[in-house]
Amino acid sequence: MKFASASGRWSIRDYSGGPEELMRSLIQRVVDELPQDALGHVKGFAEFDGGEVYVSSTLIPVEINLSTKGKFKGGAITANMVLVFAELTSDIMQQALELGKQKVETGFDCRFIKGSLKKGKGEN
Amino acid sequence: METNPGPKIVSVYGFLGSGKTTVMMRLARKIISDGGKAAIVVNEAGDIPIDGKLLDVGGFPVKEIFAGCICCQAVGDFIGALKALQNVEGLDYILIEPSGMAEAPGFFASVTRHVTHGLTRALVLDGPRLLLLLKAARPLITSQIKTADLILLNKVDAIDENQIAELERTIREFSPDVSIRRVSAKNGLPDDCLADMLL
Repeated sequence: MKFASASGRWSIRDYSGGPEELMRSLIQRVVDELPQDALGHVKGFAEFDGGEVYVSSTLIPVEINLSTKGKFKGGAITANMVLVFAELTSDIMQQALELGKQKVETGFDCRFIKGSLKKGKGEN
Repeated sequence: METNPGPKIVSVYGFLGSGKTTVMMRLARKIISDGGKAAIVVNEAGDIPIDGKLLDVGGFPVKEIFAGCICCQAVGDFIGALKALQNVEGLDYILIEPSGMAEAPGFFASVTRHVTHGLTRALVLDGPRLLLLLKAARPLITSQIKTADLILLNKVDAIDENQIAELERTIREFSPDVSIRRVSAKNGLPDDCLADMLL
C-alpha cells in the first residue's frame, strides 16, 4: 500500500469570525474534494492569541472532530492542515487543499496568505 | 540496593485516524494523575507536526519525528530519541506513537533491540473502518493485529452490537487469544483499560 501526504499553512486575513468556524469550514471543504472512500485522515490546527483549535476527520464516516483550548480574543489566525492517504497522489490532495481553501475564502470573504512549511526529514 | 530498571515503553499504534493520539492523551493523563512521569515520542507523516502540537498544548513533553515512516526512514532519529529518554532520571514511561503508515513487525523489531525495560504494544483499531481496511490493506492490518499485546477496538459508539461482535470474531481469526477492549476514546477510557496498558 502506498501513502502520500500534502500540507498547507496559511495566515488568515480579513476574517471576521472565530477560529472554530474557520477550521470546521476548511476541513469540511477539503473533505468534500476527496474521494469519499479514501483511506487516511485530514488533520488541522489553528493558532491564535489566546489558544488553539484542533480538527480531524477520517472521511469514513464523514465526521469532524474539533477541540479547542483557550479563547479567541481576535487578531491573527494561523491555520495548518495535513492530509495523509493511501492510494491517493500528493497532487490530488494538494488540489483538495487548494479548492477547499478557495471555497472558504469566497464563503467568508477572507484571504489565506501562504506560510512556509518547516522541512521534515525523509520522504513518505 | 536495587537499580532503577528504567522507564517502561508503551507503544500506541494503528492506522491513520484510528484514534492513537486521543488514546495517548488519555494514557498520559492517567500516568500524571497517578503521580508518574512520562515522555512522548511521536512520528507523524507530513510536514507539519499537528499531533505533536496537540500533545504539547496538553502539557506533555513531546519529541517529534515527522515527514517519514518510523520503521523505514526516521529510525535513526527515533532510536536516538528512545535511547536518550531511557537515560532520563525519574521517568516512569515513554509513550511511543508511530505513524499510521508504519509496518508493525519492522517497527517493533527496531524498538525491541534498544528497549531496556518492558514494552507494551497497544493497537488501536478503527471500528467503523476495520472491514474496509482489511479489504484494502490486509497485510498491513493483519500484521498489526498479530503483533499486539492488547487491542483497543475504538469508536464503538459509531457501530452497533452486532457489528462489534463481528469485528471481534474477525480479529480473533488473526490473534485468537489477544485481549480486546471495546472503547470510545474520544469519550474517555476505562481506568482498568489504561491500567492494562501500563502493566
